[in-house]
Formats: sequence, structure tokens, C-alpha cells
Amino acid sequence: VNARRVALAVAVVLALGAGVGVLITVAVSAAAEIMTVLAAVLTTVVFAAGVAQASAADKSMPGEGRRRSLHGLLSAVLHGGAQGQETCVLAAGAGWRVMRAAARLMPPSVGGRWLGEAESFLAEAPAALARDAVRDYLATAPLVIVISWAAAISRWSQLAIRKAVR
Amino acid sequence: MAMRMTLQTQLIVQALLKDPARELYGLELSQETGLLPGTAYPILMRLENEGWVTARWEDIDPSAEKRPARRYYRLTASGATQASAAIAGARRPAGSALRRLAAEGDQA
Repeated sequence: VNARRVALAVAVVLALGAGVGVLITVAVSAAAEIMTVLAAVLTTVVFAAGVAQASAADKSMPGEGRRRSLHGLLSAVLHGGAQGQETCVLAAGAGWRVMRAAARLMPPSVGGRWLGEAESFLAEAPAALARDAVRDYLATAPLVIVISWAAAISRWSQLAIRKAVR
Repeated sequence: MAMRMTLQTQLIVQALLKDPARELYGLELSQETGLLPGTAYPILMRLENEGWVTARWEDIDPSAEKRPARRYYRLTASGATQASAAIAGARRPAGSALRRLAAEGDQA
């Protein structure tokens, strides 16, 4: 009778353990999915607002005024070299502001790197290419936000599962 | 997991494979491939995560150079091998599709 009770208790404990394990796994993957969907929704909303604002600002500022106003947006590094050249950070304008907002929606390490690369590209590209590049950066930013958060969440959940197993 | 070899991925990998020891930065990659940097970035991120590509920030003084540091990309040794194999096995557009695209380009 005792042996049966012990076997039953072991079976119950094992079943409970397995159940908790399954629940943790389901919860972690559900959380990852929810975060990804939230990131996508948030990105869409921010971009709809950002692009509308950028287009409005772009249309409302004619030629020289727009050019002058953009100087304030650039990092101190670029001021010396960019003035008087046909470089494109000047053409970035309101787009650059939206890009900075987009970078804040990425995991910090990815956002900093993405913005740094964009700044480097825009500082050297000719104006026409830079304008297209800003549009391209804005169009693909939601993808970068979603895949970078998905990668980060997947890394964190793998770490959490590994810790739980230990 | 096998790398998904889209046409854009193939363009980037081929540009890096031309001289695997050479480092390319964003503007050079864009000129070599015809891709805009926003499109190239997620692909490079994926290649870096898979260990095919290694990247580093240029070590300069931005105020002396009057430009921000570039980020250089280069294939790793194993990345070059895997990339060559992937390019060899990748699907290419049919000749007829390329001819049609070329004809459309001529008309435009």
C-alpha cells in the first residue's frame, strides 16, 4: 500500500512539474508574441503620426529656411563639415527627427547602432541619395523595431528557461 | 537554421564576397549593390547574428575628420564559405524574367 502511495505521490509531483513547465513555456511564448504585436501596433501608430508630421513640416518650410532650420538637428560633429556641401544630413530634416523617435522604440543597443549608421551614411551621401535613404530608413524602421525586439525577447526567454532548468 | 537567400541578401553577400578580406561601409555597400541603406541594414543585422559577417566601428576622431565614424562590414572565414555555398545553391530569377525587366527598363 505504501509503495503504491509513494508511486502515486511521485506521479502527481511529476505531473504537476510538467504542468508548471508547460505553463511557463506557454506564458513566455505568449508574452513574446504579445510584445511583438504591441511593437508592431505601436510602430504603426508612431509612424503614421511621424510621417504625417514630417511631410507637413517638409512642405511648410521652403528652401533656405528649411535648410537653416535643419542645422539645429545635427550633431555637433557634423556642423563643421556639412556646411556649404551638398551632403545630405541637411536634406534629412523632419525625417531625421522621426528616425530618432524610431530609434528610441528599438532596444537601446540596436537603436544607437542604427542611428549611428544612418548618421554616418547621411553625412557622406550626395543629397539626392540621402533623401531616398531617409525615406528608406523610415520605411524599414518598423521591421528593424519588430525583429530587434523579437530577437531580444527570444534571447531573454532562452536565458530565463535556462535559469529555471538549473 | 538555413539563411533565407532573398535577392537583396544575395546582392549584399556577393558584394562582400568580391574580396572577402575587404571591409565595406554603408555607402560603399549601397553603391555596390544598388540597395538603399535602410533595406540593407536588417539584412546585415541578420548576417551578423548568424555569424557570417563581422562589423566594427571605424576608430577615428569625428571632429578631426569632420564626419561620423563609419561602420565596416566584412565576411568571417566561415561566413565566406557558407555564403559561397548559399549563393551557388540560391534560386536565381529566370532568364526570361530578367529580359522582361531589362526591356521594361529600356522603355522607361
